[in-house]
Amino acid sequence: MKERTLKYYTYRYLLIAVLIIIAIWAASFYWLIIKEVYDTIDKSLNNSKNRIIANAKIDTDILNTREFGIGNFMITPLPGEDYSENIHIYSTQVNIGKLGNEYPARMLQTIFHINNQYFQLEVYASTLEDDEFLQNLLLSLIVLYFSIVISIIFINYFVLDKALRPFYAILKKLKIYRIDKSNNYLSVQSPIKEFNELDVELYGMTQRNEKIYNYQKDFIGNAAHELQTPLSIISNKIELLMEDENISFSIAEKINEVYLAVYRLKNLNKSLLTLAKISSGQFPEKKLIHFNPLIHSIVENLTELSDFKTAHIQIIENGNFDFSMNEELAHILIFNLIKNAVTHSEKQTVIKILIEKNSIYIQNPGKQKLDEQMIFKRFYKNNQSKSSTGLGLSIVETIIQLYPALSIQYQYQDKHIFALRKRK
Amino acid sequence: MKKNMYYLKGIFTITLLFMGLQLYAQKTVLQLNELPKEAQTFISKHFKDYQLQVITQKTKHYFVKEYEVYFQDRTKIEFDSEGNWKEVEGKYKAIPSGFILPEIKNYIAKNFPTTQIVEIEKKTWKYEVKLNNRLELEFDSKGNFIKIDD
Repeated sequence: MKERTLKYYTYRYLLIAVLIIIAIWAASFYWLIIKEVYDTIDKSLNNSKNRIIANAKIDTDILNTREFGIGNFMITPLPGEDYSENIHIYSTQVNIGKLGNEYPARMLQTIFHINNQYFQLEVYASTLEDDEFLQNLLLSLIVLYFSIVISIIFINYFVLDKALRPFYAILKKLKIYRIDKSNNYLSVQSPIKEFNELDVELYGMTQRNEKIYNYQKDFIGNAAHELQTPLSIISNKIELLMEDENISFSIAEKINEVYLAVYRLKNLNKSLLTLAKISSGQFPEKKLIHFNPLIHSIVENLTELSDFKTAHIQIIENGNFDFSMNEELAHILIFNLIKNAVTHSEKQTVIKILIEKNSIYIQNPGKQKLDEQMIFKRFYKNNQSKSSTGLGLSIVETIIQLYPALSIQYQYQDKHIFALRKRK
Repeated sequence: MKKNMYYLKGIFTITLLFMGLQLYAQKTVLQLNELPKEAQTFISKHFKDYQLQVITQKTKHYFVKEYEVYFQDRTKIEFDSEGNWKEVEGKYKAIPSGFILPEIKNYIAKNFPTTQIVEIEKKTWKYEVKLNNRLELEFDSKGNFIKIDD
């Protein structure tokens, strides 16, 4: 089914209905008036006929009227006596007198007799004026028809527009509503009961959803928090075990595997905790961050930490990127972006970090385009990265969402490019 | 807009079709003896004093045949494919009335004694009669007066 706007939909049917109904109304009105006009003429013709016949019985001179004259009638004597005395009234053209012009007229024709002599009587009434009247009436009706149709459409347009305004306001509000930004659903006040009800229901729904959303967010945060202690205990005990000299080499190897797994688990838990903290707004402080020195220090730390991955990091500075935000978050943001590039790069490749006044580009070589829709989702991993937690970019996006003036985009041009931009 | 275009196209096609039908309704000139027997008898009986001018045959709507007989004084008779008369037109001159229903003739004589029949047309359910004073009367198929057509 084809989609149409509410207005278009209602107009189409309204217009068709109005056009047809008013046309039928106008036509029947016109027809009734015509009938009425002719009825009046016919009645007066009948009266004239009766008068003429009555007068003819007294004054036989009248019977000699052989042509239409001042009296608008004509009498023709008829031979024989086999006639019916019906009255016929019809519209015709009459040739009046010697003028030779034809006029539209209503004609009454009948046959009457005086004694045994039959006569045909024809009486007419000019309908010139009536025809003009009917013509004017038709013209007025046409003008009226269009003005009524146009008025109705216009009135409806404005009424519909006014009535639907709250609806479009609610729609607009819903479009910008995000569940993770609490209490941004503001009520729309309207004089229409249904829309108010809709608004109230929508507001209630957002409140319920926000409650559930917050509850789940808190749950993840709490769970991560509670897991922290047992995880540190486990890793501490494993470290102690590894220092024990009495264990055999094969057991030590297994213990090392366990240690690596626990290490990953700890990282994961830490990331989850960070994610929960960021989204519950636990980093409110802001200050102007100079990203250039920040990037330098992070790169230094990373290369020290991850010597086994010998991807070379190259920093190109075309400008100073400064932005006012939380210091810790800025660190996490840049760290995660660069770490993501490092973990997903082959050995002996070059990672380029390009800093400009309004944007930072982090490029690392890669053979395949990643799914832009999925890349910032939690636990999205492409198969090769065993060591990553799958939360790094998700944290990046959560931080970006806290600052509407920032945006992050992924592009693929023979290499992966993450672009951090200031919105203008 | 697109929809309108479809309508226009539709109307255009239908118009073309009708034009095609009209074009196909071609005329051929005939001799008197090529007319159906009924029509020949009709002419010799009621129009023996008339001078024949031309006889044409029309094919309407691909297969329905029609005949038209014209006389010197522009009087015209139309016959259907069986040779039954459909219309007699006297161009404002009185036509012979031998084939007209007596009821019709009688009604006109009694009610409009000063007029003459100049044209008669036979339709499926009725007759349409034109008088020389421009009146048009309608009669049913049995010759009963229906109304004045004005």
